Amino acid sequence: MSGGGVDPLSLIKRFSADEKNLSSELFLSPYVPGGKINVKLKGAVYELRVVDSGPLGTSSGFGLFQVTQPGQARCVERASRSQIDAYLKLLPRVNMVLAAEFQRLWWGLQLNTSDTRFTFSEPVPIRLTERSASFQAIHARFDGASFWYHGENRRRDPNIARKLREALDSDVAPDAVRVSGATPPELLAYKILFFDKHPTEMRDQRLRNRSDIDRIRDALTHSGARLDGHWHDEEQGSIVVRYVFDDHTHTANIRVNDLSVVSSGICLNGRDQDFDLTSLVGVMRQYHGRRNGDPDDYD
Amino acid sequence: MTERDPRFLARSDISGSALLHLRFEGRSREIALDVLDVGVASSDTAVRNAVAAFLDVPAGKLSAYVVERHENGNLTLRPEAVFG
Repeated sequence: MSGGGVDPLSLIKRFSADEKNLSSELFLSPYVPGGKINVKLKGAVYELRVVDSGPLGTSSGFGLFQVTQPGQARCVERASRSQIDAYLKLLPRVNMVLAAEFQRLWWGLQLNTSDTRFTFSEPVPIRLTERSASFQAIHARFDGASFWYHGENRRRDPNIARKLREALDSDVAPDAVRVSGATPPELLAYKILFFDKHPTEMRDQRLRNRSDIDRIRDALTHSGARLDGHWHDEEQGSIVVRYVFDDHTHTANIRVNDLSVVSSGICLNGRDQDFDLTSLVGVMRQYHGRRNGDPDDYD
Repeated sequence: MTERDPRFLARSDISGSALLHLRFEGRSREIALDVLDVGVASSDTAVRNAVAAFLDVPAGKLSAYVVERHENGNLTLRPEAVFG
């Protein structure tokens, strides 16, 4: 090739020769059943399908693999503890706190958010965890695609994890948790576990500290309607809401606690309670559409 | 992402996000659209399927539900209304 550029044909030949040479070597890799393994050789990453998991069987783990033919590998033996350590030490270490187990994987959060090499504020799955528990401080290694467990972080005070577990057992709300030394990621892990344990609390927390009128206003705003007026129905223990959308004005009787409909103001075959204030706006739009623009307002 | 997904549970603050309002089996909830990976341009079927997957219920349970798209970018998924 002229101009001193890279000859694509010679590159292909080189990769092919390198891949062939791989078959005479063993290499260590983490393995997850159904997943592929990667090996990096002279700067190129080869993705291989495991055709025979050998001693690893159907379990995940670290193994020594051999290429059987291009794109395929088999596990020859399990990797020893010292081999695994040596392999993981080649990868950058991340301090993490374990949160919850989900879809057969433990998920963790970055404990040291001042670490500038990685920045992730959301939980990530950590593979091949051992003897794991919520709030456990661990070391993980990142290979560019996945986080791999590499032991407990024994420098972290275990009392923090213990106290967080005790608070969770006692159902202490996330904003009421007081554990000396707990970091924001550990408190976020707490929030994840708390809301997993109490899913309805998540919505309640969002609504907390907002007045009934703010909630009603937001419910209408979601659907492009606006609050025009409201008054209490003492007899029903509910609230009557007058709202406006697309030049139509309607009133509905609403339960204050969950904004479900007591009475929509039109006949819905007795199914008014199927709806709440937000969804009622769409129902009323549909109602006007059916009437082909014939206004049925009563303001 | 489902409702037990740690990434969803970590995002309890959804202020400022475009939302889907769901009225399902007598309960109401808001789910951020980015959690569902749908938007106002998504088809009705895509929205129903995403919500069914999020709730971990068969998609058929929502097949009769109505998808509404609002000018502010929000969505609503609600039962069908039967007018008397």
